[in-house]
Amino acid sequence: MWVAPQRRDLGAIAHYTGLLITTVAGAMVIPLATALVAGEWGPALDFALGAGVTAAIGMGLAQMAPRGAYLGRRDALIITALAWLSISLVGAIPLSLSGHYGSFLDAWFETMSGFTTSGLTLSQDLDHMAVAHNMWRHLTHLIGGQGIIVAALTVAMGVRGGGAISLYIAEGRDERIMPNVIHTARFIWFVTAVYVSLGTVALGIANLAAGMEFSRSFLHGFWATIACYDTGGFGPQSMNALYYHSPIFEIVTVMLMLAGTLNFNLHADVWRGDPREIGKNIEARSLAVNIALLSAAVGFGLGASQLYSGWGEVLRKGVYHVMSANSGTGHQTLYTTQWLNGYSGLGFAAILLAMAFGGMVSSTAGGIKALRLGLIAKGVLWRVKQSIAPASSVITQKYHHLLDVPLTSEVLSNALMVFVLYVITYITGALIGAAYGYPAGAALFESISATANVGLSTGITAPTMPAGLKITYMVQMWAGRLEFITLFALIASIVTSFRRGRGRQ
Amino acid sequence: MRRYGAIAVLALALALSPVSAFAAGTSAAGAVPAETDGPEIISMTSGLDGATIAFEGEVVSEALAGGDGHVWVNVLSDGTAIGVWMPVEMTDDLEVFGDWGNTGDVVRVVGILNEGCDQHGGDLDVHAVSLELVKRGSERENPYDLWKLGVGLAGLVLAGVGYRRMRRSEEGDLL
Repeated sequence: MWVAPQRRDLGAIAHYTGLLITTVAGAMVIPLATALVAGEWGPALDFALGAGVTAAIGMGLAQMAPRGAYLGRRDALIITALAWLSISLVGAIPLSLSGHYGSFLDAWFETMSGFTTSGLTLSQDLDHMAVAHNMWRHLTHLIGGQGIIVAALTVAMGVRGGGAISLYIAEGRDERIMPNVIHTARFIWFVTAVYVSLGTVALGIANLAAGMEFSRSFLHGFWATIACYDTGGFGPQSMNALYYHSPIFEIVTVMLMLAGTLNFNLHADVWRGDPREIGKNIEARSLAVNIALLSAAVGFGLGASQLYSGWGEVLRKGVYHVMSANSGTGHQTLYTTQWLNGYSGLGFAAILLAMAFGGMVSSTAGGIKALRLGLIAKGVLWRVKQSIAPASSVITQKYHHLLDVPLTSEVLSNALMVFVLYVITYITGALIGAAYGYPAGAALFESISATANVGLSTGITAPTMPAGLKITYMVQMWAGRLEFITLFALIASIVTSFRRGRGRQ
Repeated sequence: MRRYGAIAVLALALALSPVSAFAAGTSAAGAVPAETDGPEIISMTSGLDGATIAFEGEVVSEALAGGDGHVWVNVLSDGTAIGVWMPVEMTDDLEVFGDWGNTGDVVRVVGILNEGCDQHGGDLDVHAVSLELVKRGSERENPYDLWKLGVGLAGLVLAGVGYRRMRRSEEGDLL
């Protein structure tokens, strides 16, 4: 039975969405302060306007809560789905005023890409962008990567009716590291702060040694760290990671990408001094096999292109881009045109698969996820065992994911359902891209990159691409970040509300 | 005498022929550079890999250490930035690098294009043979609009009123 939201539910949804939007207004103070320190008066005014308008919208929506509004599971799903849409919308306000975007839609695309940690960009003349606007672009990765809900829960937005856990689950997180979700959210931020500090210092020193000015060294270090740890992929320069021409930069960022794609439960085990879980975990094993096979495939593909004379170069390019694709980061040390015109073939196909498969669940990585691939592989093994066993025998299959768990048909069907939804979305986006006249291979690459929140590009994603395709990729980034079910809940609620409204007429 | 004259004419014809021009273009030293730009350089379809090329663009951000007495200067040509590896002394004339506050010096680079540079981890780069300053960089005008401050403040006032209303409502609930 479809249950339409009541007026009281809509008030609660508006109230909590408003509080989330107000949190984003508070976050805009950081680029505003950056602009003031850097003496960038124009950008400072962009953020003053953005923060004011965003706060007014947020507080306006927050007024709509009825007294004692209870937050149910369905409402939490709707709030989460709306949160990514609404915060990217208000987050686009200062960027649209920067003069680096062709339209408000382009700026909205940028913030949708930023908050969903995709990394596809429509910015123009990035090499002349203000520090403050770059700060905001990268902060969208940090806020979105940690999770909008986690971000808001950390500052305790005062959810009534025990709805915090519903919001937390609706965002696709399943960590239960601490006794309650607010403490867990704070723990996630604490661990993130440690990684971000280490990464910023390491990359800052590397930049300083390369001759960058002091404050730029550490700003670039901070931005690259959050772009990699939160598996985002934005860069402050148009050349992205290639700008630095540095093997040290590549090594540190690969380590950060790996940390970003790890399930947070595994981070917690490592934090507690018990790294053995990583060796036993089905997801970690599945990801390791995935990365090893695809790195070899990319290596053979790049080797076959005969552009490189040594295996060192092939390995450096191959591992970097497989890690970037698998983790959903999207940092690249190649130009977009090189994928299609230089490395088509096995290398191109392997990168497609790495993007499609993605990283781990409960991380900022996108894609189908290594856990589901591991479960599907176990499921195939299970069915084969059943088919050759005597009819009277009962065959069971276990897997280890934090605990030893029996593989059930329900778990397997859930994994397969999400797998199928991703594949359908990948193909649909590719068909739309092809319908706009782009080559099928490039259209598939871009569609997977958007849905899996990766950010690698063959060059289709550009300010000149059709508005319809921009909207398509925005929907794909949004759907991929929510892993579909939350988005479907929103659509179902809108449809049932509409039907109820028509029924009354 | 007539034989020497014929040889001289033949040598002159060969020197001026397109074949010799092509041969010169493919060698590194003393080459006739192929005129190009950023988008063509990264296209991977230019057929210029290993050839001497020439392009113009704006130097952006800063010069980064490149090892062996060299630096990396990134040159923005027709919207595409290209990493150019050059000896440190070649940057002596450079004063302004492009960023939010400045338009950088415009330079003409002559160098060898490597679509997958063996020396630099397979990066697409240009190893400069010469660098010529075409136009000195200048400060960029970045005007600001004070009306944005007015709108922002109005929004903050509205948000403040909303917040007070919400708090009063909550206090009312508690009483």
